[in-house]
Amino acid sequence: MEKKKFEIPVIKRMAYNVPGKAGTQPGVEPLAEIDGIPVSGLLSRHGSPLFVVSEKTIRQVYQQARDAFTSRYPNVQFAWSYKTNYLDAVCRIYHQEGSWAEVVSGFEYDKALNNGVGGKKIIFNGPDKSDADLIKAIENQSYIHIDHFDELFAVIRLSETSTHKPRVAIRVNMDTGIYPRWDRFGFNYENGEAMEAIDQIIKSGKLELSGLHTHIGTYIMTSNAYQMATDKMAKLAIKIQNKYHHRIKYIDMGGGFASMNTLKGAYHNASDTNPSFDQYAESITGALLRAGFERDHLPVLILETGRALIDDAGYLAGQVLATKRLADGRKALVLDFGVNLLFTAFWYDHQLHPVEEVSDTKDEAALFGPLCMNIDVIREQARVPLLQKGDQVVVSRVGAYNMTQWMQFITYRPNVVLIDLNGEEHIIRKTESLETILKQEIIPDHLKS
Amino acid sequence: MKLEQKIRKYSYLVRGVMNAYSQVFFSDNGWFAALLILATFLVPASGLAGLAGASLSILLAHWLGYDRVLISKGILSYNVVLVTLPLGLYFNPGFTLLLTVVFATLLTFFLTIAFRGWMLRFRLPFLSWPFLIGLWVVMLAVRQFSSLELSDASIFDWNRMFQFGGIGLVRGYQWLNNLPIPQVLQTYIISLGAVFFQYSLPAGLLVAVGLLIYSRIAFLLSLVGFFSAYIFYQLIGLDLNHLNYTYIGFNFILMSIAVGGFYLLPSWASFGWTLLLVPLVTFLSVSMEQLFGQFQLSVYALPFNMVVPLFLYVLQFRQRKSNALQEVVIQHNSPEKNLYAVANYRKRLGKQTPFLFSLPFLGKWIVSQGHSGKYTHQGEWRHAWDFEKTGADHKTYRDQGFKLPDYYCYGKPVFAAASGYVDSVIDGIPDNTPGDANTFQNWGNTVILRHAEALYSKYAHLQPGSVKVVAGQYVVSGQELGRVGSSGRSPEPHLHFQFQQTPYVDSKTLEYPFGHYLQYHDNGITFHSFDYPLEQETVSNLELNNLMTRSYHFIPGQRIKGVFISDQQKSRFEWEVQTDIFNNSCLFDPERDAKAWFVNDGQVFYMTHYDGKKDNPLYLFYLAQFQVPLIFESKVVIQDQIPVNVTAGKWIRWWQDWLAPFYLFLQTRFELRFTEIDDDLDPEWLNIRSKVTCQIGNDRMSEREFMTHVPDNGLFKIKIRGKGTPGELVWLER
Repeated sequence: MEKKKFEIPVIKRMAYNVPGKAGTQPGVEPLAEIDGIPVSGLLSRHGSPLFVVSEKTIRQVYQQARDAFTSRYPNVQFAWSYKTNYLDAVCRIYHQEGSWAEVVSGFEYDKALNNGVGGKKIIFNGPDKSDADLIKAIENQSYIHIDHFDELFAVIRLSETSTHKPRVAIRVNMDTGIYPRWDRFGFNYENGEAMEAIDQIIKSGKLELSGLHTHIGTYIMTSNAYQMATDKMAKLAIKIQNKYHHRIKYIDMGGGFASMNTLKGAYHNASDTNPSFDQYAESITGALLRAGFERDHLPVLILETGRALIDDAGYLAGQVLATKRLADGRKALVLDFGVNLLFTAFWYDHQLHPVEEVSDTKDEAALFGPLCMNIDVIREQARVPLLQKGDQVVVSRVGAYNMTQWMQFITYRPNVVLIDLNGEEHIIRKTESLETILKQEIIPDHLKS
Repeated sequence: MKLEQKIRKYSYLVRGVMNAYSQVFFSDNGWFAALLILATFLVPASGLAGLAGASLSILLAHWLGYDRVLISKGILSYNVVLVTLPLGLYFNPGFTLLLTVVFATLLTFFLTIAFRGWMLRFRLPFLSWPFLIGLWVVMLAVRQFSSLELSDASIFDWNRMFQFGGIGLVRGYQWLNNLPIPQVLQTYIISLGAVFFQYSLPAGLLVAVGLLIYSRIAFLLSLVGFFSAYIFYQLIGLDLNHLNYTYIGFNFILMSIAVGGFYLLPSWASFGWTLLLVPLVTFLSVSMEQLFGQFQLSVYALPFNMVVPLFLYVLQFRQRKSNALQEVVIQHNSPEKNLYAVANYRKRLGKQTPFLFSLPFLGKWIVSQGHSGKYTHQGEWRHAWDFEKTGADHKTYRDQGFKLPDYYCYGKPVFAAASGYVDSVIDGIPDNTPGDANTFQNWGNTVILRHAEALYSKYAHLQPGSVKVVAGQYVVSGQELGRVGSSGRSPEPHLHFQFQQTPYVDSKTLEYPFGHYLQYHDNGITFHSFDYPLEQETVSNLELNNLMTRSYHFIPGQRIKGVFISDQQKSRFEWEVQTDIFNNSCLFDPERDAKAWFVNDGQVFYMTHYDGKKDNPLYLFYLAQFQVPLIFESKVVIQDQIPVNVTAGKWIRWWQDWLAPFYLFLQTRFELRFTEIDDDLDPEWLNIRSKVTCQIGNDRMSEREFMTHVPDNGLFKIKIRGKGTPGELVWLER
């Protein structure tokens, strides 16, 4: 007879599953497979930890988001936000689905070009664009979204020598009734700065004012804010039309749609509180349709949503390195991935799933990463089943920002595997090795032995 | 220059005089007319009288201010020709004959107007009734005109010929008459001549050749009519001399052409009916002859004039019109042209409806139940559609589909398919949970729009409280009506859409198509016009391209200047956008007298017809832009067919003509793709490639390719390759 697995004894309050004021405690379901592929197999083939990206989920979610908008508004264009996840394979899926590229640096710009995106389908955002970047964008006729006056002057200056008339939009910030107000990017709407920038653009005669751009924040949990923002953007567009007889081609409402990850400190589960694509679409398209544009000349609606599109498609699989009892009596698990890979752990209460059904009993535990640093905490406290060393775990909804904001700190970054529509696995980013790191390092001669 | 303009201005009068002859055979063919005039001049006095009658009546019509088209087509004058021709034949020239011709012309012209007005009311052709009445009246009257002498010209035609052309002409004439032609064929030929009161072989031959030039089908029908009569005469034992002596046979010929090919589309059925009508013409010929014999009058074309309108009148009252026996609606004055135009029209535009309905949603939707669907679209409600949305896995819902919001279409807006008044609104019926159905309020929350009398559209199973319109309100096409819900008999959220003739919520459905839409499948996208989306098809409305809509928008009065450049030539052209009283638009090239008729319904630009010569830049434009949806979609291939009578070469068409009533082996295919665009958002130019392929069966004969460059400034550039003149069509000014 096989020896029974040891279970650490816990004292558990009898709750009979009575709902509290936040509803019942969400159960932690095991996650044994991703798109039909067993996680244990994935880990044994590609090592632990491991990022897994589901192409099926990417396409499904994209199509849902696209449908939410295209079934309400005739001219809609998505632009994939590179910073959210710029693994080439991921970007190319979005481009295949018809997305343009939205980039915020010369690096991302080059990456988009390298992914075969035509210059006219790249939107160049962000406060940091060098002259070289701007010249490239102007010559490729990309849409440059101007962030500040210094950049505006730079573009006007560069337009003197460029062969094409730069196509620009201005980034607008505004009060949409939410906190925090993002006023560090772009020109303010309420104090007239935005109109001033527009005046300068039109009066310079050297730039083509193609559109207006805003991005009201990130992880916006109310769709009303978008309605307010859209109203103001449309008003601005119509004001330009009336003042200069100039029709802008598009209104770019940016991104910021919340994903279904629960924020730290949130009382309710995100999937219960966060708006759906349909709700965001309703607010934005409703405001656009009501704004009073001519029926035949509705501006194109551009959306740069990133997080809400990709979050669900990413998984981080790994294993338990050790179990611990802390000095105050709390339990703790040490996992083989930490904030080095799961940067979003700083603001999300990530959901940890066991790969296999371990036991019915769940207990509070702190989740620590493998780094020898005190900050490496994934969850201060989470209800997890009774896991032991060697048990495999998966964190779901990690597609956004982690594969770009991760750190090569203390250890290497792992493989990233894409599961395609046919269930085939593809390594889309190889794990790092010593050579990867050393390749970038140069040892001065006097230190070579 | 001024004289030239004048000549051009009045040239239609000359055409009118010529068509007055050819119109007897329903034609407006110039060569045919010339041969007919020549035939009448075989008895010069008769020819002269006929020509005088024709010219007088044309001038009269012009002077009285009749419609130019009617005059130039000879419609008001052919009866006059038929009346005046015999006057020159029967009577000696002189002042009295001149007077008689003038007043016979006047009388017949008046009768023409009267008969036309009266018979048009019954939608019947007046044929040669004015001629019959006119000639009878004149013939009865002139017997009393003592100063009018009977002529012997038609009796002693050899004498006359000798005077005219010497012994050579007489010998030639003799040789012709002595040709070993069987008696029956001679009778046939002379019967043709007899239509113009020329009872000789040469005249008949001229008419026969003219008829062949004009129309193969008409020529074939003349043979069918005459020889079936010949056989019928033998069958019932009627004296064949009856045919031979009075050449009454032209009645059969004219009837056959009229019924078999002119007023009806040539087909097996029209040929068959021709055979059935031959005995009727025979009855009438024999009986009427006995009646008119009392007055020593000939029946002339009376049997033909009785049978044809009678038969056409009978056909008008059919309840169910078959495709086999179709009346010609738009008369092209040629059986071939009628046939080709209608065959093409039936394929291309036959399904067209006056109302252009859009799909009642935005984006791509799937037809979850089509016409005669297996669930509920049955019986009187079979012409309906259910629309839903699907995800990447082809399911209509995500997760388990236990909740309404799991369904992709739930809560999506529903738009008016066309403008109209809101007839009624039902709201307040709750949505069902998925799987359930409310059979007591079958349609759930519903909006019914009235687009025209007896044309309603219905949108059912909407979300309660989502309806945004009220009864009596006017909505424009594309205006939001409400949201997709699952109220009524709806086990899962979907939009039920149907057309109906009555305004009630439970009205039966009406079979009516959607205007233009795209259908998506694995191999690309198909463009549909006036069609019915089928079950499981994924469809969307056209997403119009601004550059396309702008570039294909032609304003009446607008002038387009351009140049056609090829290796051999460089010719300039100037077109004008014209609109006629029926609101048909065309591009008109006044210099080359060519017109390309087009329609732009706001979503699609297409050509309907081309008039003019083929060595013309306008013709190339007509081919290149035969059908262009105003979109840019690289995955779609537009396919169409161009009428063969416009494209096919003369000789190959000549052979096709003979077979055309029974089988069309010639085809001209049109194919169009959207190839290149410089920018999706703000395009400065785009390219379209179109291809025109002439085929015999499935074998390609010739191919022409057009690369149309559509720039922002609206000045098209079309490169032409393949058969004909390769070159480039460049617009310089617009």
